[in-house]
Amino acid sequence: MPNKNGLHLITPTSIASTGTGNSSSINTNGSVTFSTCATLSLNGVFSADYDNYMVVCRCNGSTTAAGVNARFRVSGTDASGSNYTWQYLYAGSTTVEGARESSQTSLRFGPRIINNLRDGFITNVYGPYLAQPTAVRGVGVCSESGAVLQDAAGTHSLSTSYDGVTLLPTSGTFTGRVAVYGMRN
Amino acid sequence: MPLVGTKANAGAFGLGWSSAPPAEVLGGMVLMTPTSIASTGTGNSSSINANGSVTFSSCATLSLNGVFTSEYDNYMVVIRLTVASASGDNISFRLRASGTDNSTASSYVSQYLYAGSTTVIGARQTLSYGQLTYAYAGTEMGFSTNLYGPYLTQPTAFRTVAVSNDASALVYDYAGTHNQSTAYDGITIGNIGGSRTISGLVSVYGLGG
Repeated sequence: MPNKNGLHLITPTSIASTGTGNSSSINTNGSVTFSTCATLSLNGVFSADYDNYMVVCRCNGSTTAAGVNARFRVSGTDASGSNYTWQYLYAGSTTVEGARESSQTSLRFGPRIINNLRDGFITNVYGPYLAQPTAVRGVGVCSESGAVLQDAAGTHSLSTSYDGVTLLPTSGTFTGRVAVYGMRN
Repeated sequence: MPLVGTKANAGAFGLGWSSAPPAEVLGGMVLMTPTSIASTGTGNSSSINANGSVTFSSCATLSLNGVFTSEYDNYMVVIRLTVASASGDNISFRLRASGTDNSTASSYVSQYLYAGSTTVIGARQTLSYGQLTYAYAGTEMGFSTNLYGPYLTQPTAFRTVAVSNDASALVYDYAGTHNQSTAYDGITIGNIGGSRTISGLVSVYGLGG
């Protein structure tokens, strides 16, 4: 039996975005290009085919600094209750710090983003389609002051089966490209 | 949800297919075969494996050409290596285009995060090369570096997650940017700011989409 590719690019069944002058579109391969979005929703990216997922995003923001947060969603509706907890880890020059935010209506999904250069992150999502709590771990780079290391770990406590996710900068809008990959079980 | 394959070169998948593999074995992470490689250092050697990875030994620098293309925005570089020296040093890189490194002064900004036992520290460096991680002499280590948009004519961001077996376990991560809006097709890796040589295996994966 040949080896099998372990990482599959997933095409959303639909997408939605908000924000003045925003645009978003699904590329031929299944990734999503977006511009000036206050929110970007990817529907139908989580399924019973995979337990775990990897989200890869290159982007930049519209403000001096904003985090990229996320809410899980099912059937096109965000789970916006206060059921998210996240912990971040920040390293900027000689400052290394962290903090935890509990009972939030979204969780930190990617690093801070700013309005110049390039930011990017890879976030693993563990079990979003399972009717169990979901865990998230993001590893990112922010171009603030040239380079800032910012990671995040988060959980969502509801035992709901989610098929999608909404990404939302904590202020302003963001522009870039995002792809969701299923990890073969 | 469809599975997507975008690269007809079956050899790049490392699966032994004599032609384009079926759709179910294609997908989001494609091992890129360099169009060519080059290395420096006394007694160095380097070669491209059948799957597209590169084995290298005693290299002061190792250059991979043609690994970034318009097919992919983002890439993951996975390396295991050892440093031959009495002491360790940074493992660094420069992006390159058409066989020439970009060594623009102060164009690479690298932020590190070190966690060893109860010591957690960081610092930022602005140089003519980017930092990938810190390798301790004589110990096997590994890291993966995500590169965001190296082939785009926009600045590039990078992020390393690394483990060193110095003191059994050590975190030495980097996040960084390169501010030149150039389309790069390759990368040079080595102890660019020093004189150590490295040996190991490197693979570059295109992240489809």
